[in-house]
Amino acid sequence: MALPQSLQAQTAEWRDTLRPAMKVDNRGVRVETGAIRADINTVRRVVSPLGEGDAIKLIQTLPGVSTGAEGSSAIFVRGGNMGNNLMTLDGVPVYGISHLLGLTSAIPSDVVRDMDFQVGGFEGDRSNLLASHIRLRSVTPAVSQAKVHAFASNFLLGAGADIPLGDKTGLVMAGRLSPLQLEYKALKGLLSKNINTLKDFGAGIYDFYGKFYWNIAPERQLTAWAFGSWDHYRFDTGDGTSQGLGWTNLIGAVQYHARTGAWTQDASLSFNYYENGQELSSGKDKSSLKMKSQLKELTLEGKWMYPASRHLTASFGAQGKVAIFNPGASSIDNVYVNQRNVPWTGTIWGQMDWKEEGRYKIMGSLRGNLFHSDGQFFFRPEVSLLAEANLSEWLVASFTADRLVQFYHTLEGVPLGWSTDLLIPADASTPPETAWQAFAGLRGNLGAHHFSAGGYYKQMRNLVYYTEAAAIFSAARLGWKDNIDVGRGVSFGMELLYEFTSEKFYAKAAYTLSKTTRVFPTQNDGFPFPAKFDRPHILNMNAEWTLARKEHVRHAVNAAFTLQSGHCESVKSFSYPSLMPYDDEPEDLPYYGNKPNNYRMPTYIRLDIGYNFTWAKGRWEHNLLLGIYNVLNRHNPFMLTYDQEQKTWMEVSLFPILPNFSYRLAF
Amino acid sequence: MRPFLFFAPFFLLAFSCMRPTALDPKEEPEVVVNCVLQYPHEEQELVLSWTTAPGGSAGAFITEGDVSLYDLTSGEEAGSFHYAGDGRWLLPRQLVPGNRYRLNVRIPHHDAIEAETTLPNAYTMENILIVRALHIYDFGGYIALGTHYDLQNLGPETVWIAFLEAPGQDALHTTKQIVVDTRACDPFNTLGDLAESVPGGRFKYAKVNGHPYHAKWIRMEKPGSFYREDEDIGSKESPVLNLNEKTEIQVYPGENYGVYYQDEDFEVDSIGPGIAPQDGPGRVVFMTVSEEYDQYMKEVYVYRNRERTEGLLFRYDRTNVYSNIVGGHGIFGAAISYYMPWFSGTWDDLKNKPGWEDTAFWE
Repeated sequence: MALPQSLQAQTAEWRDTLRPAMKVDNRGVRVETGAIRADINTVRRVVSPLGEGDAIKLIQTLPGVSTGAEGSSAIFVRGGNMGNNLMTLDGVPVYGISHLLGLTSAIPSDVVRDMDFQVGGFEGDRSNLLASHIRLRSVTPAVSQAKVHAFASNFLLGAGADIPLGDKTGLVMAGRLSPLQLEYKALKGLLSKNINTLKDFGAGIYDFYGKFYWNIAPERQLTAWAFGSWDHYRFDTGDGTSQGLGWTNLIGAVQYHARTGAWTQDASLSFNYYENGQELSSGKDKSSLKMKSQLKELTLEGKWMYPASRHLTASFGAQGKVAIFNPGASSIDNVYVNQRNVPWTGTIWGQMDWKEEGRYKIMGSLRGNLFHSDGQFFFRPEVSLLAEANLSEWLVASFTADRLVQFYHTLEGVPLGWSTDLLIPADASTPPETAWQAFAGLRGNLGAHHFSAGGYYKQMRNLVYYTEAAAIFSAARLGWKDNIDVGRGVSFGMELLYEFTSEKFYAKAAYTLSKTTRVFPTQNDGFPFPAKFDRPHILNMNAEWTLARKEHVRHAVNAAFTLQSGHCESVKSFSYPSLMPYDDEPEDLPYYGNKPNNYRMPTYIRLDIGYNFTWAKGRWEHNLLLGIYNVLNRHNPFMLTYDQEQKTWMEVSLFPILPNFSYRLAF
Repeated sequence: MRPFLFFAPFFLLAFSCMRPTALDPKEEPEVVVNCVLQYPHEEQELVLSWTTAPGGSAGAFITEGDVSLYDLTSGEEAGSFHYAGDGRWLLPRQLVPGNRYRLNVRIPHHDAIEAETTLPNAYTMENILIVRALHIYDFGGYIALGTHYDLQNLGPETVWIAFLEAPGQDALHTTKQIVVDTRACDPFNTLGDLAESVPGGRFKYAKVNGHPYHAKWIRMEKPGSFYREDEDIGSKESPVLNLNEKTEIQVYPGENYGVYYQDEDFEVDSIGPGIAPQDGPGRVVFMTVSEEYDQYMKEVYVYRNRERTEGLLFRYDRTNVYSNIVGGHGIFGAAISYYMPWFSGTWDDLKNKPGWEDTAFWE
């Protein structure tokens, strides 16, 4: 649901039952029941291959989160699939979340004020997810003084402005582009032989954001914003054919917020367009084969909130959503064979919040969803409960329980976080995904030490498994309907988070002990097997040491260390001959053991270091981030392949040591 | 030939590196059963062997054991296979189309192995409409040359279509590439090339231009079941083909589909302008298969396509190829095949031709 930022800020206030000291000096994350919050400065300081961090890179360091391929935007939260996470910008879903082939988020950090990463105790206004909600809130335009900013990193250039248009109105604009094509040409000789054989390469990577803000009256605001991102890549192999890949987000929203007496009202109308596609062209005959997947979504919603007493607040709302899916449409000579489905969703919800500052807080939400797809109705209710009690001055007990429903399936390809996955609506053969989950834990604050610890259990049903994930990049994608298995999943584990903060030193350690399994009727005779990214142990540690802090200058160095169990691979146990009609020779078919994912990859270890230099002179503010990703140059294997000629297994690793930088200027 | 796969993985591999590693799955060899029941064959064949360890030599044949076939539909024993050498076990028996069969395999010191499959119902070839090519050189035009096949009484089984080289020889080879101008066929075995133009000089098969080639087989389900929105196929993909000198195959009554083949080993010139297709050595095979064999064949081709790709990412997702052998590996399936020639003339013309039965037959 689109939620104006002003109301979102208020929502955050409802949850703030901990003492202010829990917020760690603007450098750490803020742990709450069911959610972790961070401001944009914390997000940016995460060392990444791109110079500065983003929301996904920060989330990858938090408890309960397993990652896909290194350096990518893939996350698996509490045993869910990658597509079970929902990212929203001011309440509007962003379906293509990645930029630059997964290296960074599609949403520019310049337009993000802060983020919530919610994994339990969901509010009533949020649905259509099974694992997590990454809620990004945008900056509010200035109405007093203009501000301009620009930045450059090793793969992105960007600029933006904050423009007052009067006493009551303002405009925020930001845009980015990538010089990847130029960098490729300059560095072609240094790249792996896998890529430097291309005859030509082209890349168009852009995004823009614009937001208009009108403070109609002290208690009434209207915002209208638009966001677009494009990732298009093309290469020429030199044999007369060229290939292309790309994805696009276009989002527009108009949102209204008002407070009348004790009542708070919000309304939102949003449109979302998401497309990814691939193309193979032959220069000889000017023929081409194109494949694309589209989602167009129109959402209208309203929300009302009423504080019934000092301790009790009631909220309720309604949402109507209609979508046009067209997954796996194909075209020869620009005539598309479409596979359209037009589902709609109607939702009403209610939520009650009881709280007494410093003692307890209880939130309960109930949601009724009616989903119509392919001629069939699905009524799927959802319920969430969040409770916390202050056991002492420094210790809080917390509990969440949720029954969640997701109506959109994601047919996932390789786990890179690229936005090339197929989005399809649930229907009779692939019913809506559902999950039950519960979490119980403690969190506390002992001076400079902050900790949280808890355990969760989660059951998931109607999970989809795209058996031909590699087909995401082939014409076999057109036949996606043949390659879907529907099954179940279970995940349970323990999550620990520790933070230390002082004037000059900040440290964070997050540890997860978990187990995640899957059950699919067509796999392993219907018995459970490990999920591909079931990593029993995940340890992430970060530290930042401020070397000097003066009025206009700050130097800091930071380091991030991650140690994780390897993910699971399916390794061939033996082979046997095929029996096909009219073939010259039988072919050796591999058998990958009694159950999939039968081999655990070596432990993943990586150390990143960074240097952060901020200085100001007059109105000019500068920030320089220098970093080295994978400073140990450890080749962490990402996958295995069997070399038939050498009769041996080969480990494939992705990122070696990788220096990076980011420079930001504002005035 | 470069596979029809997209380049994206190249980027992932830009910084990647590979190095050897030692893995030892340590699993004992298991039994492999490969058997496809056929009609109207009067002898059924089965091969028993052990699995092959990674890097090892091929698994040995199994020569001892009891292998029997049971007709579940009639409730009678269909017979026992006997070992005939070279890993082959034979059962001299013609089976009944439409019946379901269970295979029982007993190997000394090994758990029982069994599997079930259903022999498809027999269909009939009701019509062949054959049009002779007439190339009107004087006017620079031509009329179509093609062969239309009309299969009747098809059951629910999927139809697999291929072109065979030199039937009657010891080894039959399917043409390596085949392209069809309708999207109502399964793209699971799509290859790397797009059809650009048809060999044979200036005669172009405009409708297949831009369509991807398939590996050896066209797999077609009932029209309408593969793509839900058939209207989008509509006029642009006319079921009444506007093709020239080519083979046309009518699979379902009222629905025509055009298929064109290309293979370097095949005499494509033999169906050039003015040359009757029967002058070439090929045959068309229509094969209906049991549900189990259909799934197996499809997954084997998907595996092959994966293996032939260059990008390492395509080795990322590994799943076992379908097997219906309980207690072992392999396939127990069933198939009925109908072979037809290319022929220049009408169905009656063909039947009046001496020895025509030798070119159109069940096998």
